[in-house]
Formats: sequence, structure tokens, C-alpha cells
Amino acid sequence: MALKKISAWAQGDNPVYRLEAAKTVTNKRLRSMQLGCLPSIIGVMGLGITAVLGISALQFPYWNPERYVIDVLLYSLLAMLFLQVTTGAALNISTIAFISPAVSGELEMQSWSILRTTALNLVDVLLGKCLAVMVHLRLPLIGIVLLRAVSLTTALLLITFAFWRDTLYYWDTFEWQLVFGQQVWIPVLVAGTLIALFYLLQPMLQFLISDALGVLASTITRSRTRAIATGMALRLSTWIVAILLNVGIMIAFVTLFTSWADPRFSQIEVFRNTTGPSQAQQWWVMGISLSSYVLAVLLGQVGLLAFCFGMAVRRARRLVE
Amino acid sequence: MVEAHSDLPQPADKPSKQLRKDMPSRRIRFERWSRLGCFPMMLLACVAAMLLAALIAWSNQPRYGVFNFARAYTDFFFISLVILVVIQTTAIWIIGIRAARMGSQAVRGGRASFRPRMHLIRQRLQVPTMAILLARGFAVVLVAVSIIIVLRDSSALIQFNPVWEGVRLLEAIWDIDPFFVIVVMGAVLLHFIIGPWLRVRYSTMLGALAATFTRKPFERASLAATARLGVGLLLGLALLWGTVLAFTVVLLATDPLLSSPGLSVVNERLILIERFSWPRVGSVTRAVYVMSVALTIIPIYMAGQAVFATLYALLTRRRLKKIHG
Repeated sequence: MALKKISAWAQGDNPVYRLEAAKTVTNKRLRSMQLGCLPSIIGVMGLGITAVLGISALQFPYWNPERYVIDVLLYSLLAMLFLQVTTGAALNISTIAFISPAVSGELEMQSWSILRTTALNLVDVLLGKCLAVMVHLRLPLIGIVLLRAVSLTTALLLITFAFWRDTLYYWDTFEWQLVFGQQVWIPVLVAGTLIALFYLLQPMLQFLISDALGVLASTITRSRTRAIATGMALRLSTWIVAILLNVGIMIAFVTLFTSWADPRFSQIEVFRNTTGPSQAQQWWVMGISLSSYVLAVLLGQVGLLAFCFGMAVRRARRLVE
Repeated sequence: MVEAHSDLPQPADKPSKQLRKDMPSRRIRFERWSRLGCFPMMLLACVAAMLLAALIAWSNQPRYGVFNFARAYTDFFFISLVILVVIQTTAIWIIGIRAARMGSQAVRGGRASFRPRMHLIRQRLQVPTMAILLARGFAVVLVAVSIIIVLRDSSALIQFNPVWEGVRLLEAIWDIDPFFVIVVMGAVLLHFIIGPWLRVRYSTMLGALAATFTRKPFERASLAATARLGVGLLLGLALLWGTVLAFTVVLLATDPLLSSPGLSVVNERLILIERFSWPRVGSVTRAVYVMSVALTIIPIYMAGQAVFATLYALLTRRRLKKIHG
């Protein structure tokens, strides 16, 4: 009830959403991409796993079966990650291609003014168009979410198996005391859960960001072709900025953390005169930093999404044919 | 780029007429050509594979000295067997997807024409299925000829280890329990012959069921392919994750550190050697284990294909009744 009051577009009686979602893609390439993406993802993933299992079985190390388990999981995971990156990029580009003509197309066809004379709120119009793209691209989106879930499960199995056989096996009393006596497992568990959640949420968040960037590009330009080009440029620049920012933050964090954890060899003067922290402190700081970083990135993504959509609404309000 | 779409159900028509009406003539010609031409193509591919294997085996011979028949035959046997296995695996993968896509078109006329359409689709897939049987037949003949060669003149083919070992083990098990050998061989042969038919039946039914989950005709084939590939992925994941879990249990159960608390870790190398060892059993016992596993898995797999196909057909009819009335 509350949701219905807050968002009219979620009720399903938004005419823009209904019209856009009922449309059929006539462009053959776009349609085959739209319909063929999910079976392709599933097919390639299935073939990859079968190939990894088969090839690894042919080279089965009889003297060390745990090597086989780790190899099979690792190579399957690498194949899945590669597929994830390629299909994720393809989905984001398709999203831009689908959403960018949303407003610019109306301007080109001179139907924007008619749409604006209706009783529909501008936010409802844009949200209806964005949501319709999600309906059109639901199959690839489901495929990528599925791929993430499968790769996450495989990664968890790999981490658990490798950790148990290669680390846990050699722990002595001191290490057991450190983990369970000084509650080091708490920050590790919290950070791990947050990272897993972040990983699972990414396809949906990236899709929404592409949607918002595309709609913003659509309000900046006045033709469909330009809107698609602007949308692609915006998407590419956000990727580049995100990669640079993340790499910079990681390098800074690793430098600061190692300097703080082991001040004797620190390159930063301030840390050299300090006494190093205990192992428990290091684990706590690491866990809290990772958790905060993941939360900050999530908040940043939601903020970018809201900013782009807000800008698009603002620009669309001023548009005249 | 986009246009309005009608959700009205498609009218029922005679299946072959409907198919002709819906497809452009070039596509129909290609479909017919690929359906009927796959048998001679498969025959050609198998013969070409064996010729290629013979050529490689011939070129692997030492340039000087006496012709070594055992070595040449070993090379020929392995290369041709690997190529034949790859060919038939690819063909069976493709026919599964093809059958699912064709099965998805059987629901277009509603419940009344579902059965004749399915019958027609299975009829159309008969030649491709026979082509797969042909590839399997080539592999069976190859293995059978090798066994006969080994049995007739084992001294000349002493290098021909895998077949020689296999025949020796089978002979040993036959001496203990001939009935067991007959049952296992029968199960393997039965799966070899009816496996492709079961797969085609299963895939068409699965495709038909998947197609009932959309009202848009152009989405049916995609959903059917997704369902077929999804089942394959599920099997792959079950195998991957199942293997990991099985090894985890086996490694835990045979862990020397857990079973003898007094033992301590000295160094990593020692641990790697002593942490796990396979149960010490003879090669005949091991072969009996492998044959028992095969005898358990093959009937379950075949029964699963048959039962699930019937279940999918039942569900499809129910869903069609719900949709079209």
C-alpha cells in the first residue's frame, strides 16, 4: 500500500511503461541479442565447466587429489569471471542502446510536447521508460545474475577448500586462540558477507546506472544517434574513472596498511617511530576498512544513479521541440 | 526499432502446412537439407576422421627400420577414437538444442494438435538421430576390431596396453562372474543404442514445456534452448560441486591427522605425501568397482530421461489446456 502511494509507476497502470514494455524489437540483430543472450550465457558456462572437468580428469593427479579439486574450481571460476566481464559489458552497452532514444526519439518524432501535455508526471514518464528497458533486457539480466550466483558459490567452495587444506591444517594453538579467543572472526565474517552481497548486487546496480546514464544522454542531445553516442561515452568514462579510482584507493590503502602493520620497513616517516599493532588489531582494521570501502562504493553507486536520474529529470523539464 | 505486438493466440493449423506458412522458403530448404544431409555428412566425417588418424599414425612411424604394426595401430586407435568421441558429443549436443527448439514450435496450435506435432517433430529428427548412431557404430566397430586383434595375437600387440589391459581384466571378471559382465555390457550397449532417441524425446518435451511459459511466438525457441542448455548446466554444476563435496568428505574421512590425534605436522612435503592415500585394491577389484558404478548410473540416467520426458509432456498438456482451454 505504502509502495503504491510512493511510486505510481510501480502500480502497472503507467501508460508509458505499458506501451514501451509491450513494444517488440524489430531490428533483427537487437532481437537476436535480446533473445539469444541467456541461452548463450548458459550454454557457454555449461560447456566451459564440462571442458574444465574433462580436461582436468584426463590429467588427474592420483598422488594428490586435492590438487585436482583446487584446479577444477579455479579454472571454472576463471572461465566464469571471463564470461561475466564480457557479457556484463555487452549488457551495459545494450542498455544504453535501448534507453538512449527514450527522450531524443520522442523529440525527433515531435511527440515530446504531446507527452508533456498529459497528466503524467515527468518522473513517471522517465521511470516508465527505464523500467520498460528492464523488461526488454530481462533475459540477459537474469543470465548475468545467475552467472554471478554460480561463480560466487564456486568461489566460496574454492576459498573454503583451499583455506581448510592449505591454512587451517597448519594452524597451531596460538592461531586458533587469535581467531576465536580475540573475536577476529567477526570482522572477517562481516567483510566477507558484505563483499559477497556487493558482488551479487553489481549486475543490477550497473544496469540501473547504465539506464540512468542513457536517459541523461537522451535529454542532453536531440537525435537518437547522438544520444546513443553520448550514452556510450558517458558509460565508458564512468568505467575508466571507476577503475582509476579503485586502483588508486587500493594502492593507497595497501601502502598505509603495510606501513602501519610493519613500521620498521615503512616508507612513510610518520609510521617509523610507532610500535606495530597486534595481529588481532590488524585483522580488525582490515575487516572494518574493507567493510567501509564496500559500503562507500555501494553508496557512491546509488548516489551516481540518483544524480544522473535527477539531472535527466531537470534537463527534460526544460526541453522544448 | 520497435513496433506494437499482438498477444493473440495463434490459430491451429495442420502442422506441416503451418510450418511451411511460417518459414521463408530458403530456410525450409536449408532445414530439409540439413535434416536429410546430416547422415551422409556424418558418414563422410567419420571416414575422414579415420583416414586422418591413419595418416597421422603412418607419419609417426620411425623413418628407418621395420614397420611397427603395434605402434601404428595404437596411434590409429587412439586418434580415431578421440575424434569420433568429439564428433558424436558435438552432434548429440547440437541435436539436443535442435530438438528443444523444434519441440517449442509444437505448442503453437494448442492442446488439440500437440500430439501430432510432436510426432511429426520426432519423425523429422529420425535421420539426425541415426547419424549419431552411425558415429557411435564406428566407435564400437573400432573397439571391437581392436579386441579381436588383441585376442587373436596378443604377443604382436603387447604395446597396445589399454585394450590389452581391458580385455585381460574382462577375462578375469568373466571367470569369476560371467553374468555380471553380460549385464554391464548389455546396459552400456543399450544406452549406446537408445541413448540418442531418449535424448531427442526428452529435449523435445522440455522445449515444448518451456515454450508454454511465453505467449509471444518469437520467444518460444529462445526459452526452449535456454531450458535445454540450463539442464546441461545444472548437470555440469552438480558434477563440479558434487566432485568437490565428495572429495571433501573422502579427504576428511581418510585424514591421518584427524584419525590419529597424536600425529603432528612435520613439514609440508611430508603432509602432502601422507595426508591421503587411495585404498590399496587390485586392478580386478577396481575394474569391478568401475563397472558397478556404471551399472548403477546408466539405468538411473536412462530412467530419468524417460520419466522426466513423460512428466514434461503431461505438464505441457496441462498448461496448454489452461492457456487455450
